[in-house]
Amino acid sequence: MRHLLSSVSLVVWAYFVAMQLWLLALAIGSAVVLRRQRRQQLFGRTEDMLTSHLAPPVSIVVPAYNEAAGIVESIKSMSMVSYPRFEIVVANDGSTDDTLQKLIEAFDLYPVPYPLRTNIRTERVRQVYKSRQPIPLTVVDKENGGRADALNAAINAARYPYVLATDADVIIDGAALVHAMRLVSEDRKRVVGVGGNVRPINGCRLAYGHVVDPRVPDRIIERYQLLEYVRSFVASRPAWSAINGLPILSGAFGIWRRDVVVAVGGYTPGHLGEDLDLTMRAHRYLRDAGQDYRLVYSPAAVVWTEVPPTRKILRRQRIRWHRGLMTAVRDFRSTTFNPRHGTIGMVTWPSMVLFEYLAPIVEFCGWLAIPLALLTGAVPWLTAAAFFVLAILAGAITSLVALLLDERFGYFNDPRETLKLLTTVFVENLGVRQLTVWWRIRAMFGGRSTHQWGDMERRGVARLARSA
Amino acid sequence: MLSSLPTLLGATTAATVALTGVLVVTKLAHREVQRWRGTRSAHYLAAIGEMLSRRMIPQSTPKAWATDPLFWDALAEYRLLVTGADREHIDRLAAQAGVHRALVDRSRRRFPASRRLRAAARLADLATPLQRQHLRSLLADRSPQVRTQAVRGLARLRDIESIPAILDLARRVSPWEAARIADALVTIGLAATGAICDWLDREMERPDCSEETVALAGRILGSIGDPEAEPTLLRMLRSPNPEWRVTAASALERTGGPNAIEPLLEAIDDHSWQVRARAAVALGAIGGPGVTRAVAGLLYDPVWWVRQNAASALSELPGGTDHLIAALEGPDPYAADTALNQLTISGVLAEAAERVRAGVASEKDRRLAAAAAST
Repeated sequence: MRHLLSSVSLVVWAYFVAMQLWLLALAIGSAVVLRRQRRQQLFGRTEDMLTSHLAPPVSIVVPAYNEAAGIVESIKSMSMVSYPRFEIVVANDGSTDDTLQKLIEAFDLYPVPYPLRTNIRTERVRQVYKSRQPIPLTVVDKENGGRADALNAAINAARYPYVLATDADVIIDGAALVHAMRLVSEDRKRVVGVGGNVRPINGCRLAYGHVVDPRVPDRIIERYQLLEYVRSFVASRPAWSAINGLPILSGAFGIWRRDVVVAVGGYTPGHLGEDLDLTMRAHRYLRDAGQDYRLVYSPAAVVWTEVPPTRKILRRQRIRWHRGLMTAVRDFRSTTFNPRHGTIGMVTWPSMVLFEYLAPIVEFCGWLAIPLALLTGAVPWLTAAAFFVLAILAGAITSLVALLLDERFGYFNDPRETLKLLTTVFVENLGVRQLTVWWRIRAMFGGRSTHQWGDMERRGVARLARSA
Repeated sequence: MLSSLPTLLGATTAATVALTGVLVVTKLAHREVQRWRGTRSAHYLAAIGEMLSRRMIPQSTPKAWATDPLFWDALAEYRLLVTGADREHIDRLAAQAGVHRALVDRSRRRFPASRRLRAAARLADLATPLQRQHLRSLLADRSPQVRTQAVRGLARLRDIESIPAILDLARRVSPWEAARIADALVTIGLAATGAICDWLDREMERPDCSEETVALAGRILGSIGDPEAEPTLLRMLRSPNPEWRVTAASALERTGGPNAIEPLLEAIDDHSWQVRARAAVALGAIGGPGVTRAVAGLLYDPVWWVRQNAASALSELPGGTDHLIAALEGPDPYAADTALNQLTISGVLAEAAERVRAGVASEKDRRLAAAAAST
């Protein structure tokens, strides 16, 4: 028994070390990519695209279900995006609140007999609206079918060859679209998708639909998510992008070539991780078709989103995300270690399974085995304490490297903000992280009670952020 | 492993402390640099504003101003905001402060690419005809971004003589830079048409011509929209290269006249659907005898986009609506669907339905309403 407990403890430590080394490797890869992209950005004068006649037009597609709290603010912010040619298509997914009414009043909408190409099958569309104001806005009012179905309806109504799939509760940074579409312009034949850099808006100062003063949120649960987003979007995705192994174009900002989305049948209705699912299906489809393609990531394309401000909402979100990952792991098992699927099959997906899907199980085993090993004397107290400190420091190093890479954006330079961030770096491993592991375990073994989407209570970006 | 644990712990602690220190110092340094730059920029903007409002050119300005990129930025920003005499005043101020001299000097080869680019970008905004020769020499810079900025500057100075060299340059750069070069040439406007057409006529004859650059030049002509470009675009339309034909058909939508009708009518039988689709739009824009019937034939094309563009063109052409109604009543379900969409968008269907409801419908209205209901 003692031998078993000792072995389990050792496996857990080894797994943890491997995971930290892997994250550090991704961070180093990301540092190289970010440096290269920064040079290109500095020298390339992306702003020249703003007056270009050759900029590819983009349809911003927005699903909205009970988003009355923040939909008007978000659409206003989207309409102020700096880009030469774009349209906004909102799909009201049978909201039970007054989302549609708010849109009609705020943008002076009127019903139009708009012809829809049903490239992707969706729930019935009740009515299409256009705005009388000088905003290129189309609203598709449809029966409820979930986020994926709403996105598909909006994609059907989109006129342009590129679609930006985003959320109704986000604020798109003014220059985000131009930065992302620059990557398309550079390699229009191969680039089929561009992901953006998602950041929490909680605590930031807003003015005129823009984030004017990014701040570190006050609550620890929000700050934990801020660090998570920085680790993922700044210290990991650039490296994945460089080897064409991006496992996901985030649902909050993902630009897709419309024909590719249509070819793979659009988003999967009812899928709890529809952005992950679409990205993986696009990889598989394009690989199987033998196409030379690229799915890339633009760290300069910043989009601000509301992250769960309370434990209850975060719990729902994490359970939903992990269930989405579980479905994806099942759906794409043939991709794992499949050399025909290149980087995605040999590197990205195996690492997702190992370090994302299995992480809560291994970590949970550690929680059970290590205390037992200590109690039975299988592991000395001093050694366990040293390993514990080592684990916290290793996690902190990954976060600190990510924050250093994040310095290119120049956010959070106030001493008080810096102090808040540093505190979170060291405190996040003492409670919040364990909670998220427990929720993911619940997602795996929690039965049918965790199979629901659950309403994400929106407070509205304007209320979550501080007004300037 | 256990014996090396203290060393590992020590090393990890040291790395954590070091990283924390670096992060704190970097953040504080960034904060101070941002403040310092903000203050200086505000100072420059205020000084330029003052000189502009008083119509004053100082005898001398601090030497550091001429070489300070923030001063260049402030001048360029002001120059964009003002027009006429104010703009000339900014130019005189820049010359008096020695900015042009500094920009020319900083964009020379001995400086690293980042500095050269910054200087070239500002030179593109602030250059006067005196710097034209230097901008031309920058077309041979080893950095493609510097070359692109030189193109922007030359376009701003309306330097027609440089156009062939600029188009040759577009053959050797990335699609991004080629697009920026095209944007710059479009800003020259009608004056650029002759030089671009001459270059295109020569290039299309060359066996080793750059197909992408020819297509790009065609798109530039389309964006400029000068009817003088029609003969060159018609040559492109008759070329064997499908991308050139698509580009030419698109450009003729804005530049084409009666002479373009015949070639465009031939183009609607092209084997490339993109050419057919663009030709339909161009014919819709130009109009003319025989066009309506020919475009109506495209309502039965197998490709959705061609049908859609043809339907859209028909709603602009005289008698086009009759063809749409005929397609709506016809046996081809795809043509009927396209016609229904177009009649809905153009409001013809709604008007007919309204007249039927009001009891003042003509026979055509009733047929239209019945056909729409059955589709």
